Amino acid sequence: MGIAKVNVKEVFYAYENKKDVLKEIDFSLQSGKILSILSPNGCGKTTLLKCINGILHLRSGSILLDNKDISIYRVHELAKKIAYIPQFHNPIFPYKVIDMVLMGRNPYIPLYSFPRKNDIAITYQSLRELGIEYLAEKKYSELSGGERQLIFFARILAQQAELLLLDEPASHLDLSNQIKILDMIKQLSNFGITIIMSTHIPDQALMISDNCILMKEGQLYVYGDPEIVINTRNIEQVFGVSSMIIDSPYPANRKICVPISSII
Amino acid sequence: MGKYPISFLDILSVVGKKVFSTQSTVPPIFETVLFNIRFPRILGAIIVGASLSLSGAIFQGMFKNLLVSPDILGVAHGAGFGAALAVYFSRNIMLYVQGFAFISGLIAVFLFYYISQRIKHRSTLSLVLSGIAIGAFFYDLILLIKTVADPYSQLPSIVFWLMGSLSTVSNQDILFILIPISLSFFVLFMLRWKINLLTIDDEEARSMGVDTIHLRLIIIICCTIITASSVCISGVISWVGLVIPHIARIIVGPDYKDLVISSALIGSVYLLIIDNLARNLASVEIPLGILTSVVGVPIFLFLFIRKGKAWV
Repeated sequence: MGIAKVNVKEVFYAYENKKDVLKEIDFSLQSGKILSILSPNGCGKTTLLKCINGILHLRSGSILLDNKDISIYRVHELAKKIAYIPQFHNPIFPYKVIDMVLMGRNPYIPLYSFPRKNDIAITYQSLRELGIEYLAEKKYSELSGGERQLIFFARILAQQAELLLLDEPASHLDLSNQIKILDMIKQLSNFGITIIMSTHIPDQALMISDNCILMKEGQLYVYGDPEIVINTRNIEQVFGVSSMIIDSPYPANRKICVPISSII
Repeated sequence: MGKYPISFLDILSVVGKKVFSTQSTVPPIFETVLFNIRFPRILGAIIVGASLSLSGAIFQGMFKNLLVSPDILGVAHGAGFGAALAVYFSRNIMLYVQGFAFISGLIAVFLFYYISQRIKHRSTLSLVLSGIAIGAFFYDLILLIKTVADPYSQLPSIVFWLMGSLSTVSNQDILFILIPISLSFFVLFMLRWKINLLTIDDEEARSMGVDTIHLRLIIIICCTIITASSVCISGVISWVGLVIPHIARIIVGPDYKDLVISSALIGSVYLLIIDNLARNLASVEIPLGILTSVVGVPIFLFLFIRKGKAWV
């Protein structure tokens, strides 16, 4: 057992005194692991990620990062530790890719100051690591969906955080880009970065994650090894869908989850 | 040169006398025309042009909306109302006029901000409409003061805030707004890279370590000081704050690190040219506010037809 990187303790969250969106969420995650939060749409995945990122304030409970409550971090200090890729992004200005990625350096740039040579070097470095240096001078608004997602990964690399929160990172992409992004997430975790991603596709969780949470109506339904918790009974309970779990031999060497039909 | 003809040599001679204390034979009236009428007016055009364009560019990013400007947001008329109110209460002292203009402009901004947060289906159009409504509200309040104001002592200066002009700018006015404007300019100049982070989603910006509430507050206050100060000396001059940032964006791109500087520079040159046209185009002076609209609207519509798809 390694040391827990993230500790989510008895978290409740509600939007403006309405019904609780998150109820009694409780789990911990070790450093360098990938956790998938799996649930149908509208079950609180995004809300949970925003809570862990300190964007939303809990109704009760606490979230610890390296055994320190995230609410005591200052905004820019927390951003050095945690980076976040939102599910949707609506740019109104056609920034150049390099300028978009450079924004990830913000936590290291004091107020009333500007990016230095070092920041620009790190920005190019993160583009290079993802093999997209050739996009640097392009306008963000002219890129494809897959390329845009890569730009966000470059930005969180530039942010040099230890924990990445990815909201549906591979859901809106075509098949080849989905695989590319999932491979990249795996690679990032090999560098020792801890990753929490949300998804509504069980097979994405099986493909790359070390741990998996199944969520149902704002509650943690089950937490554990994805190969164990993703089974036909749980998929039926959470998604209302019957499925087949196939043990796939080489080259996949993993279980595969195939949805079959909805249960009426 | 100009409506009161002074030859170029005489200008040099007067400037030489002022700066180097050289002997000069030109009549003293030349000195008054140059230093008390023309000089503050030129400086006023530069400052007001830079102010409106700069705050327009920043408001556009701040509200994530390419169709706003100090006048469309209602800030300019808000400030104009404050100024008119100060005059109505016989506080025709620059300090009061400016203070009232700033507070009233700030009320207009926060009214806009509050409404923009309350609108359920937030679209560019609904934001622009609420800005126009706030502007119209303050415009009508100025009209209200106009009807109750003393027609001899107060009315002329109140009407002035409705129709922008630089004809009454004095050295004293310039001196008075110089401190608040240059302080605000300096703050915005130093924050200009960070403004980029407020043009993206707030939650996304927070995840990158931006204290969005704090930063936005500083920036909005600075922009409002700048707008209110320029309204104090020139009245409401429309279209400059909307059109110039778009021209600047075409030239230097959307990065606020460059945009802040280029907007201010282009804006000051633009208003200086327009004010020269206002003075010299006809035998009577054309009110500046009218000319900026007559020139600004066609430019705006031209840009809107060509680039407008991305604006709404």
